[in-house]
Amino acid sequence: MENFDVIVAGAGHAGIEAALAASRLGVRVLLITMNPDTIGVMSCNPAIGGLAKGQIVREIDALGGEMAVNIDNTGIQFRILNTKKGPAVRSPRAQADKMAYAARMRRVVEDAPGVTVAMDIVDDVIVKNGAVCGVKGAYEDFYPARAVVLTPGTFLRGRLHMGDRVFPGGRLGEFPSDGLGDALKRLGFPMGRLKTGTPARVDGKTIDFSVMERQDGDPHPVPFSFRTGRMEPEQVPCFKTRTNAATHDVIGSNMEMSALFSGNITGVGPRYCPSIEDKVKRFPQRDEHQVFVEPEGRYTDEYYLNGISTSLPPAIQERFIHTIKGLENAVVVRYAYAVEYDFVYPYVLKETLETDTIDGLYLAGQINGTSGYEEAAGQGLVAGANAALKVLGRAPFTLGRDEAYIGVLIDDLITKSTDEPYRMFTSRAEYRLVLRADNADERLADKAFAAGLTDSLFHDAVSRKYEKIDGICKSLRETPFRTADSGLSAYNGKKLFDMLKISGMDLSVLKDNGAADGIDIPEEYHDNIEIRAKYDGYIAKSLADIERFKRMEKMSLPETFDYSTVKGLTAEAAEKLNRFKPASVGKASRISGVSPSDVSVLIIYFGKGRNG
Amino acid sequence: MKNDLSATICAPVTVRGRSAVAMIRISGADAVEAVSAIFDRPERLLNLSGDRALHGKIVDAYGCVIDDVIATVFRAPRSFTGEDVVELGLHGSPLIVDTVIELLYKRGVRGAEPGEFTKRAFVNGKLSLTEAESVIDVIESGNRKVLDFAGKNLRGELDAKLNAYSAALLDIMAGLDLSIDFDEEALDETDWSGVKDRVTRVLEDMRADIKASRNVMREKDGISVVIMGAPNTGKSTLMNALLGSERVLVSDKAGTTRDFVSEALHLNGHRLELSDTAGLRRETPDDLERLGMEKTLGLLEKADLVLYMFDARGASFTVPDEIRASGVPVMACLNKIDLAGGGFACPAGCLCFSAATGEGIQGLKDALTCKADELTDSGDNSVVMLNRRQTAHLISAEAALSNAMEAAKTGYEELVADLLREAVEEMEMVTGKKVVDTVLDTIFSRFCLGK
Repeated sequence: MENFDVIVAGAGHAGIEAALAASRLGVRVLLITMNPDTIGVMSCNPAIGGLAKGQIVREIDALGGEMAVNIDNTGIQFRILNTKKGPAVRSPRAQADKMAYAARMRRVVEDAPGVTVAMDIVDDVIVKNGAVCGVKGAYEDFYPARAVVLTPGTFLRGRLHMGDRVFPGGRLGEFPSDGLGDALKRLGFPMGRLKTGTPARVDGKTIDFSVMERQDGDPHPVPFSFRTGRMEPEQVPCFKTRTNAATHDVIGSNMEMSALFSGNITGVGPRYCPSIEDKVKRFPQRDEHQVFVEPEGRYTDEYYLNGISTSLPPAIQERFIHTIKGLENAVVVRYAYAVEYDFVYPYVLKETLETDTIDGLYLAGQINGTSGYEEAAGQGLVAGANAALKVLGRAPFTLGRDEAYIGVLIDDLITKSTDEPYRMFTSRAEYRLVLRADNADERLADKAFAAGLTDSLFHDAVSRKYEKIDGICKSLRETPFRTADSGLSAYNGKKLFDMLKISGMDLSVLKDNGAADGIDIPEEYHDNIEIRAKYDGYIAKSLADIERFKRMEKMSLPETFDYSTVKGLTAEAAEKLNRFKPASVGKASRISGVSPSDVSVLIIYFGKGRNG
Repeated sequence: MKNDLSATICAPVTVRGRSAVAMIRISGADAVEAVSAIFDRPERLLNLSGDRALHGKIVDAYGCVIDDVIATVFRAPRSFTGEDVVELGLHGSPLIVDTVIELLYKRGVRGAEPGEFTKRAFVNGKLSLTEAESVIDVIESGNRKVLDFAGKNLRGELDAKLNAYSAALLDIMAGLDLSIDFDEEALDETDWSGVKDRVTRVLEDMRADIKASRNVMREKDGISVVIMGAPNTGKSTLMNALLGSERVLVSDKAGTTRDFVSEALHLNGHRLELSDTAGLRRETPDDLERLGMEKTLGLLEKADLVLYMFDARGASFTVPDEIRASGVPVMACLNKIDLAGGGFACPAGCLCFSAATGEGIQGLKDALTCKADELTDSGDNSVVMLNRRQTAHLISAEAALSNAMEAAKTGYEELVADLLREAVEEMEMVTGKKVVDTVLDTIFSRFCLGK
């Protein structure tokens, strides 16, 4: 077997970004998948982005990743969410054509320089002297490599549940990866079990859309990728309906038949994306739950019933689906099921997603306890990039909580670990006013370029864009508002930039008034400029907070140190610190069980230029 | 990473100067060994168990006796710092103290930084951060009332109060975050008037706390009373009359006082910092005097009370606008009533006296006491902050909440949530829930050498 630099095991959303990032850094990559036909498959919902997730997709794009470009090319409906909230927490979301999405992604992977695709089932990691040296497959005994990224998704000892039936598998109709799960346990990783679910898909021809609320895409779709120019896709609608008392009755009276409550499932499910039986049980006071009916693609009539994932038996699924308005006669094409899988408690990871114990072994995606395509892809990119950088002998690439949602995600994983599928929320990011979807390129361009993840073409374009925006803002700060419009003439003399701070005021109004004549403000910069104005003081304050945060992050802690020798630390803190091995005092402060006074002890004990 | 916690350190723990006894504290793994090396009975000292004292002599390298001392040994972890500690009781001469310290330096003991003993005690788990801070507040408490508050803080009552504010704010934040992060869950729109009401409640309590804290801190640090007025109205004479001594140079020439002079006056349990100032007038004859006047106006910034002096023989008694505008309470004082003649009647709202004869001075003192009571009133607050670090954080929290009320007008949940979180973090920096390095520096820098 040819000796590759980096092996990526798994070709889902994490594996793809890992392989592509390594490829961009110029190393030879072997991407091993159980089935090349499933590269980039969307196992669950037919959508990319959404609240907080949309920000991650933009970050992936700024870091040279493919997800954003791919959805721009294969999306069938584009919307900006949270438009009623402030601009910092707005996020792009798109419905994907599942088949087109996966097909294009496969082509991108195959065309990537240095990437070879192989079909095998990785069932062991080969480690010598504490360092990874390759993997073993079911068909081929040894694939040598200098770094390995594992992205097995839900396949790691995956079990699929439908009522009392259990099928081994990572996705309905596909094998599980049992050997790899056992191997990781043997290698000493602390492992747990998680659960997630997917709803039924029904035949669109049997849905009565006329009684549902129609939800269209935005009239002027905004692309995910900073590289995508104007786009005018033909968009398809989604629909909204609701469960009702009859639905809840069927579910309530058959609760014991759900794999979730029958005792078959031991894995912990996502609190934030519960199955319908979970919702009925936990929120008995609610007499309805929303159901979004989303197309799976242009190629099919199947519709995805977002909001009612379940592990009830097929017959009960049909019964409760038929109680829902518009779905009375719906024919189920695929039944809903729950999937249970192994994961590694992510506190064993470094910021690079390399494991603490095995040199050159990286983990990304659901194996680290996360859920979601976007969360997986972001980790994949970081893990793949670092695997390549390690092989090249170059400095690692890491993202802080102050730089990106991906940084927040990884930091949460390694300092807090997780006991349930981790999903990103804007409220997890302390600096969400700065970590916005609109400025991901500004935040990350320099860093990505310096690491070699993006080319100079993109980097120069971003630099030019923000030079231009800076210039426009300068003009807006200097130019006074003048209008004859009696409604607004009270503001005459106020600087245009300050005008934008007025609630409801935006650049279009200024332009319509002729107030901004002489300043060339391209439409695509509006958001960014308006946010700068409206958030002026808030952004400055966030940046000051970030400086303070960074000081604690820079106070580094030794890689090997026995914390039980520090008498001022509590026993629990010393134990946690020995286990999590935080890289900095800042990281240590976020570990549960490490109290503020423990942190103070660390600052004084390890702080630079202090005398003890 | 290298740290210096392994070094053995020493410092005098008594005030420098001549006294009956002086004490040097030595702390660290080599403390007993280092002292034994300059002790005339090294074996006895080396083998001394903890909490024991030994009489002996300090001798230098040539065998010369430096002093007769008592060495008290404390063994780790049963000592102030949690390390081995020796406390040397010497005769109170700076020369002896310096010589012994030098001998210790030669034995590899390093001089302790201010607060370093306390830092070590903290690292070794001997006291918590809040305790450390409350300990200084107790040390600095000048009177009974302040001591009561300091004791309460030491028992965690301040923390409990701030935690209750934080809990209320975090609950509001959770609602705002929910509406941001679950846009599609068909949640109700944010109830902005409810949010504003709830923030206002915390804000009002917090403002009362800040006022009470400022007042109690005044009790602790002294009430700054600035005597101002036109030249030659007898400001310095009043100062001397209140202090009961010829503290300030007086003459009947206008503008004698060029700089300001401060003295402490103890009045019915209050400490007043009296400042006598250069006279204020429109046209100043020389630069030196102008400089004095600028300083006078600068004093206003820190003043708690102004006594504005007039000559009782004058025609109008109007306090200048720039003084009124400062917001500092002003008492109008009419001096020289002994020269004002028989028809003089004290105008309402003014205090009238003669600093030269002492007539009416008791009335002034009574009025000052009354005002001091008011300025140091802690209101209904049973828990207050006692130092500038804590008060500064609460002031920042208050500002963040005021801004949150402003931001609520935009209807942007994330801006309001951000400001609420800022307020919570500020309070957490008081309670120690949130730790930043600068806070630690601030706390430990308040300790002086030898603490």
